[in-house]
Amino acid sequence: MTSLWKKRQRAHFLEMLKYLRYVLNDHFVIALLFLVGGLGYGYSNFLKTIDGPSWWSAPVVILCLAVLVQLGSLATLFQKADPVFLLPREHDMHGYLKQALFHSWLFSFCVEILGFAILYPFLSIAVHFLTFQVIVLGLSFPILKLGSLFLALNQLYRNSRSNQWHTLVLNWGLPILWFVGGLYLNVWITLIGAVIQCLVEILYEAKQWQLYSLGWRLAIQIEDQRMLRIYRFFNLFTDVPNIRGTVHRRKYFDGILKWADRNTSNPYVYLFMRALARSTEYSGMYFRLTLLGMVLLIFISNLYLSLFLQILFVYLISFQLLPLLINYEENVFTHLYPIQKSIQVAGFNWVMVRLLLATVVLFGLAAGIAHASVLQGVVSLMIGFIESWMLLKLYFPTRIKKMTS
Amino acid sequence: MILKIEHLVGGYSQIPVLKDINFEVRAGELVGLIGLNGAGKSTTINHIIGLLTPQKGKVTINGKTIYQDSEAYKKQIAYIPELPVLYPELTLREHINLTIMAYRLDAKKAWESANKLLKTFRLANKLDWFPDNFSKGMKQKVMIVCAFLTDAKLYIIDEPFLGLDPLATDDLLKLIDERKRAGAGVLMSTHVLDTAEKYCDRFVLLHGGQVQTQGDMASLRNQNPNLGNSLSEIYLGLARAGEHDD
Repeated sequence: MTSLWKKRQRAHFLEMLKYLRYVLNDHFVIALLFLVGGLGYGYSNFLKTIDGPSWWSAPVVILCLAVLVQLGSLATLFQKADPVFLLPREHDMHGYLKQALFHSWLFSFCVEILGFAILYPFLSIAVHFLTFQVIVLGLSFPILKLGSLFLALNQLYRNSRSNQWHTLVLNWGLPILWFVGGLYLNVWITLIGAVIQCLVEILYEAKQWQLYSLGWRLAIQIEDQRMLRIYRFFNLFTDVPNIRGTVHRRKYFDGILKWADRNTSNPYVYLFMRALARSTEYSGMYFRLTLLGMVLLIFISNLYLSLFLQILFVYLISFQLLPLLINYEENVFTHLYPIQKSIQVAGFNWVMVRLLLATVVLFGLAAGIAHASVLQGVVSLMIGFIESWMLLKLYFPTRIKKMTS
Repeated sequence: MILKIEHLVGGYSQIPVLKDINFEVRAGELVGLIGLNGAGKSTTINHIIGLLTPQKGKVTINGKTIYQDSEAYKKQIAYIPELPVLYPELTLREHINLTIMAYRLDAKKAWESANKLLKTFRLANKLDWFPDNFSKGMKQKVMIVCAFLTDAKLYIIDEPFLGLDPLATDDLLKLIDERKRAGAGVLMSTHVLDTAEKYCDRFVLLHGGQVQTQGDMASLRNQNPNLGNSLSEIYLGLARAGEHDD
């Protein structure tokens, strides 16, 4: 089982590395540098304004610590087929899971050190913690994490996330209690509390796992959700094949869908509109970018900069919507329906025109109203219309030809 | 002659899976396409529905190839895949609407027959469900409903009996019979030989990408006098013999 874990871990590591390469591309690294630099500068300026402890500094520290101790979860690297193939070795899975637990612990340890390093100056300035007190507080962190990971492992055997209450008390309630004790009374309270809690959780798990069989379904469900969160993040930067947006009913879009159905009998409009309305894949991106663009246009008063941003955002939105055209290529029926390819493209254009126009109008309104300038609104609208026309008539046709050939 | 396959050579890559396939499906006929895993059943079907391009030979439906008029060609086909394929963002009701739009059916008449089909397959109260909420069997029934909604001339049904409950299987066979009598042709691939023997008018036995033998029960028995009486006995005998040849 140890070799299985090693193999899985290696594969997982390589996969993450593959995606990280996409995330950490040159542009993003530069942006990240600026972001970190800016935030660091802001933080140091903020620290300079603090002179000594005040009533809110301890609660803020406690809140930060409580959030920090939650970071990182049990990564089992289970796969859907595991209950079928590994069922006969179920007893040995505990060894596998302990390996998984240890590595999850190491990972969250690194995250916690980073978080603690950021918090350290605030602790010494705003709470007047001495270095030895910070170290004692810091030591309690990996101990608390170890305990909470054993609790998570125990839940896999109990096959229930049933007692949400239990989890809430053990993962949030008790740590907060130890932190309150540590910050208001004596820092040793945190460490001693953490050690006791951790020991109890480890000993409890050691007794419990032999009484129950492993809850495969729950374990896989939890692991799937964990991986989905990671893939979602990567999906912001690159195409992750394992991710397909989830489908939601979203009744509030029915009006728009009905309006589209009345206006055209193109079957692809019917399909694309529903994909847009109900799948998180496209609509989320469209709304996020449109909203972000509007916010930026409201706050940026420089006409040229705001026009540049508007052009950029319209381009980004249209570029991200392009894959919608081939969203259904792998569905046999897309090829089977007696419909000409040109109708598919026409349907796509129908949808794109309306989406881009909606964005352009919203951008124009945002720019015009926020700066109380009819001129800025009109200029923004004009530029938006021209850009949309150029995209739809000049840029898309060549891209579409490439995508569908 | 609804479907005619002549000297078909083809497959997914340059190396052909199908080597000179010839058979036909006539109006009012249910033809069983039978063969081991990998014999070329699905490849044949993919050629008929136009997902694959023949390297040699041709496939015609009512005398037309897909290259002459792809819209008219496709309009004559209704296909029920082995694994149900649905649009995740569309409800059952919307799948039916989409089918109506894609085949340009008369909405009112199509919905009348859809409602009848939905009732038969006990889906009438699930019109607003998404595919994610359906079991495998239910998804298959959705495929059946959408396929039989069209007035296709040729029905292509890929292994329909696995996953359907007995009641639905019986209803499907009745539907096939109804369409046969209305003059449609049906090509059905299956491993369930007892059912195939009972309902199919003729059989095409594929082996290693070739037609091993074809004909109705009587002619299969005549061609292979020593193998037995039932389709399953004849087929097993032929399959074993084919294995030895390879």
